Amino acid sequence: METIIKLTDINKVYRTEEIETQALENVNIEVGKGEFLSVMGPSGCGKSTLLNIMGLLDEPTSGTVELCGTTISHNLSDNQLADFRNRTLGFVFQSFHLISSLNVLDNVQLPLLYRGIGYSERIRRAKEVIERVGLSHRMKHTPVQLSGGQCQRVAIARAIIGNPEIILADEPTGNLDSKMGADILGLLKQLNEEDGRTIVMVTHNEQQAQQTKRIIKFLDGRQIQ
Amino acid sequence: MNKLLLYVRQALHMMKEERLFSGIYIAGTALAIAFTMVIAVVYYAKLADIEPEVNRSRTVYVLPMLEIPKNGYELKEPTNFYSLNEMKEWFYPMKSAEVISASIKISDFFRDKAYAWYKDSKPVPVVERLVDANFFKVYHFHFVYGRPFAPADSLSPICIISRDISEQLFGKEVNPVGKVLTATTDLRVVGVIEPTSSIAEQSFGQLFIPQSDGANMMTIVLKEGCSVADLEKELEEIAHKRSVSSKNLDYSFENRIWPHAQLQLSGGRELSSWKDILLALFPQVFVLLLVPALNLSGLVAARMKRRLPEMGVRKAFGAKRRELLHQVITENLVLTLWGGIVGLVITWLLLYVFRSWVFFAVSNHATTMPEPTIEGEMLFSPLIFLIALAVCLIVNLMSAAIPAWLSLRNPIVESMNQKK
Ligand SMILES: Nc1ncnc2c1ncn2[C@@H]1O[C@H](COP(=O)(O)OP(=O)(O)OP(=O)(O)O)[C@@H](O)[C@H]1O
Ligand SMILES: [Mg+2]
Repeated sequence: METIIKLTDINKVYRTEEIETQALENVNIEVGKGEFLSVMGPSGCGKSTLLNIMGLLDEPTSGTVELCGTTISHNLSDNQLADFRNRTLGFVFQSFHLISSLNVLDNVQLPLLYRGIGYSERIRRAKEVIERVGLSHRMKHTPVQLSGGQCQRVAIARAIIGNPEIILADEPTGNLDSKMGADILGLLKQLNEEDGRTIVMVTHNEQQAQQTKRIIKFLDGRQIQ
Repeated sequence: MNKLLLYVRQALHMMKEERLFSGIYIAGTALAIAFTMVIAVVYYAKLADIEPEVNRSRTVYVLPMLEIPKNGYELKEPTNFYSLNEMKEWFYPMKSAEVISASIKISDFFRDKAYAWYKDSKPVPVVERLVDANFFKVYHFHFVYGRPFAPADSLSPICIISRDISEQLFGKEVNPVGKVLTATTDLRVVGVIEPTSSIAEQSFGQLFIPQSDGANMMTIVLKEGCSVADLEKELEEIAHKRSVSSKNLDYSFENRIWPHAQLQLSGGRELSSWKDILLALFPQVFVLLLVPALNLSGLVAARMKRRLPEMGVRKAFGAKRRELLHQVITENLVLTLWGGIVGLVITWLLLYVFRSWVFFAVSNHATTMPEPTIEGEMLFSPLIFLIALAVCLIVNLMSAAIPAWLSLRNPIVESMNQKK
């Protein structure tokens, strides 16, 4: 299986004035193309940090990140990183992170906007993915007018509109009740199985993790399983 | 382009959501703009080519020559006048002058009020001017009845009056041409002009009487393409010729040549047009704008902090810092433009309510001039709108760009995790 994410000897140390926190310690992970991987572990063990580093939202203190065969190093500019994220990565967050002043349609088309795609094409594709997550009837609503589950569907639509190879989901069901959570997980599984997207998902829910293809567990910044 | 549309839409949405912020921001911008606009309009009204003073940008006022005794003693005050013969012989042939009008300096006129009456009517106070035929070529008046003066009129007991005076003396809708009114002497009316604003004080008058002899000021419209320097050269040549032919006196035009803007502002600065003036005023205006801009930038900085999560999310999905800056500036521009519109309205209100005070703050003849009327041309000129727009952009850039740029430097994860 082709490797699509490769983390080598990743360390992440947070330094504040008083304390130093080693959020990640010598982490080595490989994720194959088309995998659906769950990351589990107690609160504060470094799961979000790991996902942020994978998603190029944060830099490791040391170690290398390779995505789709490209080694991400310091000589990539902020703009190049932005382009890389835009084309390769889609994010789903626990708290949705939708933009409250934009309606569903405008929220979803965001990644295409930054890819420089024209208006009509953006709208066409946005409508397509919104339909896919079952929210065609809520296109003009703003996030405050939607339920949590609906918000997360919008977030998923936004994550997939740009056809990224990799979807990173940090506790996507953490703020949802179990029924809505199961819904969202179903959607992610569908994206993995039908579209072949690689998904890395952080979850606290053992039951959900069991439904994915592989589980890795963390404790205090180290991978234990 | 369609990004712009999206930004504007978001800005309008936020305006609704964040009323307090938007309100304060718009009000602040409006005041900053109103202040600068009042200055711009005042200078524009006094310096731009506005009817009837349509040639201001190439009008030069020339006072009588200095007479300096050759023995080196005692600099004589230039109390001499230009005679008609002198005008014809020396000045009319000048190549750089298109029109030369000989008249009496306005400052010599507005000391005392003159009165005019018709038959047994009550005397009406008028602003009286002694002018020649060319006066009506330098300044463009609209004639309701009759005609301007002709060169042959110079000694005739005739007059031209403004419509408001005509209405007071002869009644509304009455053509007074041919009737005889009394001012210092009996004068037959030959023309009636539309009243002009006293803001244009060089041309302002309500009763015009032909200038016979002894003008103490020449008003010269430069030929298209000629500069003040060209005129200066010709005048100095004339002064030189006269010095050579005179036994006792040397002549000089030093400090006697005043382009319109310089005369209006009675400043020694080398400002030959209102464009120069605006440029010269720019530093002052900039400081005037700095204070509100700083306050507004504090507001923007606070709002950027609240919007950090949004900016973080946008970055996560591929937005570059430049694009986000562009977005914030566009959004702010929407607010700033609203501020600009409100500011313009405030400007017009201020100018209307305080017109005497505002316009005469830069006038030498405030006490004797009638209350100025404000012409639409002074307020609604495209240039004024352009200046308003430029001021908007400056305020916007100063207040939004810097705090936005600083805030956009925050790392993504930190931005996204910022508590709202
Ligand atoms: N910006 C930061 N500055 C300092 N320490 C940080 C920072 N971000 C995270 N940490 C620390 O790093 C460690 C890992 O944090 P992380 O958010 O990755 O945990 P997590 O596994 O996602 O936890 P949770 O399940 O609660 O989301 C924690 O001890 C946390 O306190
Ligand atoms: Mg976490």
